[in-house]
Amino acid sequence: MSSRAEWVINAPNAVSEVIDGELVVINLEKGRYYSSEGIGSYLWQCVEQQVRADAALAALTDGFGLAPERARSDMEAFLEALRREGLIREAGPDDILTSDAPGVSGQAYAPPELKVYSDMQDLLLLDPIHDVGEEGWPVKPRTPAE
Amino acid sequence: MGRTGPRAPHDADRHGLFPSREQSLVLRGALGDGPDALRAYEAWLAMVDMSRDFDREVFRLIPLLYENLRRLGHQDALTGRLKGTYRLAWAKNHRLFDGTRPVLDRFLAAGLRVMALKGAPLALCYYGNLGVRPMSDVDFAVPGDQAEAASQILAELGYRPWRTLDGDVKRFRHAVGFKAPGQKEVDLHWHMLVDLCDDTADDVFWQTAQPFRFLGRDILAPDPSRLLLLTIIHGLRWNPEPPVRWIPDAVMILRHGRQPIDWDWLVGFATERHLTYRLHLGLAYLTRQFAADVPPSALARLAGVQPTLRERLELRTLLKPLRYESAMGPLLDALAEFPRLPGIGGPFRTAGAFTHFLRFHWGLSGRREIPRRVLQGLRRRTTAGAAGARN
Repeated sequence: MSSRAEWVINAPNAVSEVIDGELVVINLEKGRYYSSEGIGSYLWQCVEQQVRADAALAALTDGFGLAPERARSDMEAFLEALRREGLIREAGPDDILTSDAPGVSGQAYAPPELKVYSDMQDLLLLDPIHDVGEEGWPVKPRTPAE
Repeated sequence: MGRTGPRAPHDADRHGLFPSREQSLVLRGALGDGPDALRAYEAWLAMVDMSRDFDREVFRLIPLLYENLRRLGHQDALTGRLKGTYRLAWAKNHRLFDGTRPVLDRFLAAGLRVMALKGAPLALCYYGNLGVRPMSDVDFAVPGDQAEAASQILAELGYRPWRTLDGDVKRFRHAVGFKAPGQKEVDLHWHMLVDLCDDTADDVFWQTAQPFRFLGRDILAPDPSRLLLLTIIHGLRWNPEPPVRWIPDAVMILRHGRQPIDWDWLVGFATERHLTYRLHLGLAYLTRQFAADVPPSALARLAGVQPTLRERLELRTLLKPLRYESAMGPLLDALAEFPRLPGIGGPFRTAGAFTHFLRFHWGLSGRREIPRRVLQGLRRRTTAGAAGARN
């Protein structure tokens, strides 16, 4: 996959929200839940706003002072994870793209990571107060071995 | 002209109708502003046992509490778990809505007129947020003459009703719940409210309904004035576990403010439909507890309407634990509901119609079972009362 490819959200299968900086996404077709913080959330917003890949890449390199190769590699890996999960699709001729990337806030850079919760049906049955870790649903409590 | 019946401040203290202390604290934390909201939240934390299950109504308020605390910049050791309830409600609501997509498509393809009631328009139009209002079903209304067609479509899609939509259900009820595998739940309404099983009341709601974009489809939703009425009248009923969700729902409608509430219509309709007492009770509570923007003149006009005999009879079972505690509760309950049914008139005018209604209401196979059921109920409740007195 190249950052020259343009991506848009695979609606209506993928629905998302950014909750206090944390991206949460559901693939309604697959019944999977995802989350990502920091740069992952930023890149999702870029895809959601149909920002051209080169513009998003420029925002990462300029905003965080990253080497272009590193920014490209991190971004492509994240977009590939989104594509593999059916959350984004390649833009078509009817999709209107923009070169205006959203501003990068003053956060520290960390490579974007997509957390995948594939057992959503079971997760929905969890008591979100008592059956979860301190981070809250859907994160289960850590066992002592962890 | 004043009322002769009990007034709001007296009833407002009654447990089972208005929120318990715990529920009130969570409501203030969820709907309040600044230090007052934080004080209420901290007072709730001090009284709640986190190792036990929450009161169901409190639990349903937690996502809204989280959102308000987040807005106020508050964080503590519990924030992650509160945020988790928000994430869960958000995920469940999306799945619930998505599950109704085929239903809506089939309704619209069949040319049915569809109005979304309660949760969906409230969450999307008034809360503006799918994470803060947990839902267990989606409520769709269709005109009365389209109810059978809608029911047939639901059956074809694998939904099963809790009660078959026959003539009696259509006549005596306002809606029926349908369930399908995969936690799919739809409430099909042919009337807007159990208190308004009447086509002439429905007409007002259809005439004033507004466009509502739902799941990418164009349907209808009640306008704010009608939705406010539905919210308060549906919510304000005595229950051992006080239903409180009507409170944030009504507050959100009143705070939304993009469209003015038609107070003249509300007062007029409530008067015409014998709903003034409950509407006044609800609005006065919202004004007193949450500084809701209700014109004093509207409150005064509602307070000035003398409840009719029919309304007073109804209030005895709706606002008090009579139906649960009194030996005559089930009978009074039926007597209170009966006069609202269309084409019947006064409660004692048509004995045949009332016994037919009783048979339906109590789920009996024939009218001959009514005397036995009454005696059984009296005996059971009297025995239970005597045992309670001995203990």
